[in-house]
Amino acid sequence: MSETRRSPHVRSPGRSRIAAVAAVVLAAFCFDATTALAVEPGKKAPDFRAEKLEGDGTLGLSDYKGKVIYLDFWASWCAPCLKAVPAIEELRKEFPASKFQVLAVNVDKKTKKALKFLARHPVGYPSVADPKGDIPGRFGVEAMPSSYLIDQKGVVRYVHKGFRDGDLEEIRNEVKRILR
Amino acid sequence: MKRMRWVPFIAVQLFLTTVAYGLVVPASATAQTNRVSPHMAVQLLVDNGDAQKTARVGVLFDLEPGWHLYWRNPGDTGLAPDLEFTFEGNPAAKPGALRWPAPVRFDGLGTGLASYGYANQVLLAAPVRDLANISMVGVEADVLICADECIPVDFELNRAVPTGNAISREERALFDRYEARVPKAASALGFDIEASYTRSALRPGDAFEGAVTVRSCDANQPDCDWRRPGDSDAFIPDAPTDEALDFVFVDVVSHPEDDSVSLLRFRADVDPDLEAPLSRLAGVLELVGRDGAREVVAIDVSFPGAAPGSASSAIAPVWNRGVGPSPESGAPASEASLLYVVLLALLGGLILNGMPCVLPVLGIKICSAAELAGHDPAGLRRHGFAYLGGVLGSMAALATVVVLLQSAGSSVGWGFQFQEPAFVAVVAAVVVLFALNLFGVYEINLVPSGLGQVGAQTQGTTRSFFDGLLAVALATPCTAPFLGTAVGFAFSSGAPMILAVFLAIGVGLALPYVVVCLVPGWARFVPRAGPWMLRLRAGLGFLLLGTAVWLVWIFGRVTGTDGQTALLALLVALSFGAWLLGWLQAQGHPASVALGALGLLLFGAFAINQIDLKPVAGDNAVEGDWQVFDPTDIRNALREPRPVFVSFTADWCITCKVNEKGTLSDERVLAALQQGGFATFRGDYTQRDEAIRAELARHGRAGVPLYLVYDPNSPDAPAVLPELLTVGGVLEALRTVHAAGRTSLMPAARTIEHTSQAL
Repeated sequence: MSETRRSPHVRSPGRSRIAAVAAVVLAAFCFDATTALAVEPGKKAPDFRAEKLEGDGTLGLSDYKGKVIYLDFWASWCAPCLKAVPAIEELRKEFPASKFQVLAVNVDKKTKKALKFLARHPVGYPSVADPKGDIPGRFGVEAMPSSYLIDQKGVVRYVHKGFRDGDLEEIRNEVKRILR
Repeated sequence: MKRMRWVPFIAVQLFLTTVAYGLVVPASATAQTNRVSPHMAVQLLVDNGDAQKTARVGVLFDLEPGWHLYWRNPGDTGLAPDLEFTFEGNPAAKPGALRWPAPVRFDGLGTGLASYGYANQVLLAAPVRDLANISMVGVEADVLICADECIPVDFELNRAVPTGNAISREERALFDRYEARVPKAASALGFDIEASYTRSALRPGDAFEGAVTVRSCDANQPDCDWRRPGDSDAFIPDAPTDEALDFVFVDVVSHPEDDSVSLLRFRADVDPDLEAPLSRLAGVLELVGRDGAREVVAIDVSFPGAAPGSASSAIAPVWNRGVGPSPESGAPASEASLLYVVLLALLGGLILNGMPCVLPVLGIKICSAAELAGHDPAGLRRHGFAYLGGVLGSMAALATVVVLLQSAGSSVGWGFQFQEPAFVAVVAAVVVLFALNLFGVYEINLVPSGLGQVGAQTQGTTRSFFDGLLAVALATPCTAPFLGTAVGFAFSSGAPMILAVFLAIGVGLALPYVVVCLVPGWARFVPRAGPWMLRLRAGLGFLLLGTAVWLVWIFGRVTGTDGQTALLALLVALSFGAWLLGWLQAQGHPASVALGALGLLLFGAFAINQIDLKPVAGDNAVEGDWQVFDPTDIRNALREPRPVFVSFTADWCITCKVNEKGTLSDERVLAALQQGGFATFRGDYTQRDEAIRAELARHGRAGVPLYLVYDPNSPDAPAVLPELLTVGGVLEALRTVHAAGRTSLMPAARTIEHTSQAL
């Protein structure tokens, strides 16, 4: 059998193609902006400011500096979101307002249904309106509801998607863990 | 040159990667399955048709178990799918309307919110007139899929149009299968389906009852292939109907007079913010047959939507009230039912005379009549008619105010004027001044004459006329038996009915005094006029002062302690003014008297205007086991399940207070409520409350009291108790909650029993 010696300066065509495919796949992952930008535990929560859903003025994450925040994305078309609302209100009342606050982001394109829902199910925490979906985009929200537990330094410590029976207990434990 | 070869290679890799993400599907003449979400796969299907069938395009959705997408009317939650088909080769080609198979109902994860859509698999297809010149079909889709989370999914699919007989048999079979599930018009299938309602015109904010009526054949006949609505969830409304009406479906029953007609009965409210009247009630209705087979049909029937302020009369169809025309006719209420309501109103007005509000006025009038009976019967008759005129005139004025308020879009209930602190203050002032008159502090004498003949003077028929006004002013917060039903009927009817009922109440109210004035000879049973009449007048004056105390209490409940104190100060000032007037009268200066009277009235009006009449926040504290009325809390209690007792009351409602101090405080009733595990709720209507007003209207009432007993087995049809409660009646109602039956507003029909079979 004879050996074929190659010049050290000539690259193997096979390796070059794998590199090209890897580069393309890497670029393809970049196309999926949502995956790339999804805010996960350990990441700093992107700040935002938006108009309140009820009443005048704006609210943003920076208004809650030094507190643990439960940031909840919801919409009137999302049944699990609506199921979560009274549970979140219950959670809010369990902890002192000086340490724990809830802020909701409503993404309805038209706010009439959202306002109607809140009129029938009033809660003690505010919602901001984001009809264009900019804020969920910044957080990489893929499913509704999506909630983010943000600590006193603005770092996301826990992400929760959907809402099922028993979820409240899990979320409560996470809040207690951060507040300790 | 070698490097140039990388460019197409990378381009191909980019393209393939994009394809791998499923964002754009390459053209293929056969259907490709595309997993556009971890929970859903889709296919673009094309049927290029033939001589017998129109061409069709569609998207087949395959969902993971537990996930669903939505119908064209998604319901309380959800978003309808948005599909946009494109045709290459003929950009002007447009598909027909999407064909929507019959949806199913989803219960909103226990939130009580209903949504409609599809689980497992569904094909949403559209006809296309001609695919001959079209080479490629595409679709851009936005859909929302939900389980215990919701995910919006956007995707694009493309497909080459199969030529000739290239379409697969499986694909065509899918089109045919889902086309068969698209509800057909009920009339095309030979079903006679209509709807009837309890009002002739339904305006924004109106509460009403209705029934979808299905005429089949007599189920007792062996060869009858009957169809009936499946159950109370059989109807799913289309979007315009769902947006305009808030439904509660009650049950499915047979028509009490015609077994071939079955009724899907419901209660509903018209959205108060509705801008354009609804003219059609549309949706899909599931029918079940003798063999349990289910069929969904499309219904589209007329709905008498009307603009605010339109005239509307109540209808009492036989399936609802036991009297009236057949449901199909929709004719106005029969003369019999109108007469019945008017008689109820007259009887209620008569009973009002016995209420503490009105009794002092009646007593005074009868004493005055006794003075005249012996020597001036003609004058007595004039007084009688003057009093009747005063009563009827003020009732007509009250009816006009109600009609004007309703036309302006305000919702009012019986006793609404007592929710206005200014009115309460005025009536309290009038009552105190009247009492002082009875004590003899001053006299009301519009015909100048000497004083000193106590109880023997005719003070003019004008006085009797104003006595009639006073009687009505004092009567309105008092609720008598039958009045609630009559006034509730009137308030939900048009202007003529409101006027008729109010005048009937007035006739009943004035009747005892008018009879006294017209019937000769009764005076011989009354002792001769003398000092005893002075004592009686004083006694009745104290009764009036008792009424004033009650009015001041109501005023305080609405405006707070400061407002109450201000009113008391005003009453003291008015009393001083009245004494001053009496002194001027005693001096015999008519001009001064007239000026003094005018000054008193102006001072009273000015002073009332200075009082802070702004209502303070209602007292919503829970008393004992009674919770504040909240429909959500009631629903939650019923879901536990717990039976529920709801009491609607107001501080100015004497009948309510009598019930609360009496029957509802009885130990036996309290024990029955506790042992039965009842959740008890109280709705306080002392001040305006739109939620309570709407709830009262839903049960055909315009005012309080209203008592409801809910059985968890029939959460949408509570038992309605009488206005005047008895211990026995309440105990019986509480006991029957646990029995098989339930007390219903619709007792004339029987519930259909049928056996359902899974398909």
